[in-house]
Amino acid sequence: MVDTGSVVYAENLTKHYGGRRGLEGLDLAVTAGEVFGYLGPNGAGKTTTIRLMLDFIRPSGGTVRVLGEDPRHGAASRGRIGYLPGELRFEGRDKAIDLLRFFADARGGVPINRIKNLAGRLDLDLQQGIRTMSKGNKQKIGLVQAFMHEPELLVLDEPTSGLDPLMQQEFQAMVREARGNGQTVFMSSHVLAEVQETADRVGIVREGRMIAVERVESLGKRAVRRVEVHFTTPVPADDFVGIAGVKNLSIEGTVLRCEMDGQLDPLIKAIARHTVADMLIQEPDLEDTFLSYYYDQEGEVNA
Amino acid sequence: MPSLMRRTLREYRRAVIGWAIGIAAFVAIYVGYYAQIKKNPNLVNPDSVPKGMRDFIGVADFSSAVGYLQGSVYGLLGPLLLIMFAAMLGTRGVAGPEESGVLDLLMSNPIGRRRFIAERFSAFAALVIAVGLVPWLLVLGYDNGLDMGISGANVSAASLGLLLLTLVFGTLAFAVGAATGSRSTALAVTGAVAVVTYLIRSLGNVSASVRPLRWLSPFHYYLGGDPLNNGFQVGYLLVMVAIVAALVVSGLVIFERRDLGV
Repeated sequence: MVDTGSVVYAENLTKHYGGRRGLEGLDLAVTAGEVFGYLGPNGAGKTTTIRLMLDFIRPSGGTVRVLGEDPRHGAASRGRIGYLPGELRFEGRDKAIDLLRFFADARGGVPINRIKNLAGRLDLDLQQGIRTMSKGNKQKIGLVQAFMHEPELLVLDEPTSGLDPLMQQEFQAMVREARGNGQTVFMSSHVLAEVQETADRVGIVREGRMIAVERVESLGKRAVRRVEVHFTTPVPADDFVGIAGVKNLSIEGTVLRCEMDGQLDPLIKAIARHTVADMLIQEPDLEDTFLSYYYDQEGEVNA
Repeated sequence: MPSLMRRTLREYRRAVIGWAIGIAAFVAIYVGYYAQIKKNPNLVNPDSVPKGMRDFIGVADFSSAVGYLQGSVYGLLGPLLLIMFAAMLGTRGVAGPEESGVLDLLMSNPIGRRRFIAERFSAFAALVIAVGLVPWLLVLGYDNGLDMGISGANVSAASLGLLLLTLVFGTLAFAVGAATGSRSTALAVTGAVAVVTYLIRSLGNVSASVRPLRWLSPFHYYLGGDPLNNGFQVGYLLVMVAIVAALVVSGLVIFERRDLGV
């Protein structure tokens, strides 16, 4: 029975390329109006999933529905999708505006002001030849064409690759606005931090299977960070023992190192009692977060 | 005009203009040289080419206007140039964008695979026809200007045949490209089929055992009816149209079923 309430729905979706594995029975349900972060290491099957959603490739087994339709018969409904490829390539001597006009025509027309407005926000020169553009500027063309027709569903494969931090912020603002308009966003990434800002839920795919779907708040709590603090004077280890979430604690003279799984606040409070010379907190690592997720799952099963 | 077809025409514009100029120059130089032969027929010694070779190429007398045109524009070099052009353009229909990685973004638009093929093929065919008109019109002009004495209808019959032959091999490249997504495969298959079918027709002229196979060769439907002497062979021309249609449909059927860009 196909769930028609989901904007993107997959059940036991399988794809084999010759002998290579792509997907191994993936289940997925993205509800209307949410921002869904699709996370996993490279080669986990993220792009394969997206290519199946857009009918570039055909499943070996299972079911996939996008906007309620089988992608195979959904050519017409692709006008309601905005797609950003993971590996964006262009050829020919077009200016940015020529290419965008063509996409606008193919999708039944887009007001030119909307194109100019998006280009302005991303600081993209529409009159420049695409051939001479940097990777970042090409990525901006990709974003403009994905957003410009205000599609019901945005499918974005590694959307922020090649963008500088300022543009990444602008992109996140665009995603939030899309969500505000009731658009659904499906975006893949191999970096948790990239989707954490905007996603409502995060699905984690590994070796072709969905291993977890979490609300982003709960995943954030679980995120494992590496912490390194340099104090001005040696600190007693006792001050830091027994803080919830602190693992692998080591104190050598003035340097404290540990891993932090969960809320940072208790550790920060403990650190603040001493004079801090320098402090380094690494971004939560997706792989570590996975491992901690596995670990917790198993712990629950054993308990 | 549909947006993808219009865009495809623009995409091919440069390449097509280049080829059209090259083909026009080739025809002008070769056919223009007939003026010299007309003044001095001894420039071509009828016996300099052995009879077996003449039979192989299918030309009885190189110094006659018909023989000269067959030996130059219509017999070997003309088809060779035009088929190279059409095969090159054909591989750019589907295999080109697929190999260069731009097909994803194109197909993410509300353009189904059937429409994609329809618009890409229409643009391709329109340009092959346009380039096929170049030798046609030039030879008509020289036929008049140099008083070659071949009827306009016969020149048109041979030129239409050449155009359709070009379209047959170009469409073969287009279809193999659509079926496989590989430009090199499309070119290799087209080249191999062109050489083999050319040999079948040529050997069929000199060898009775190969002769029955000539029905397998598009070159037979092009020159087998001797259009420069006998005019339009409607049946033969229609066979070439049918081959084109069958190739497009086969390419489409496979393209509709397969995975893209894997």
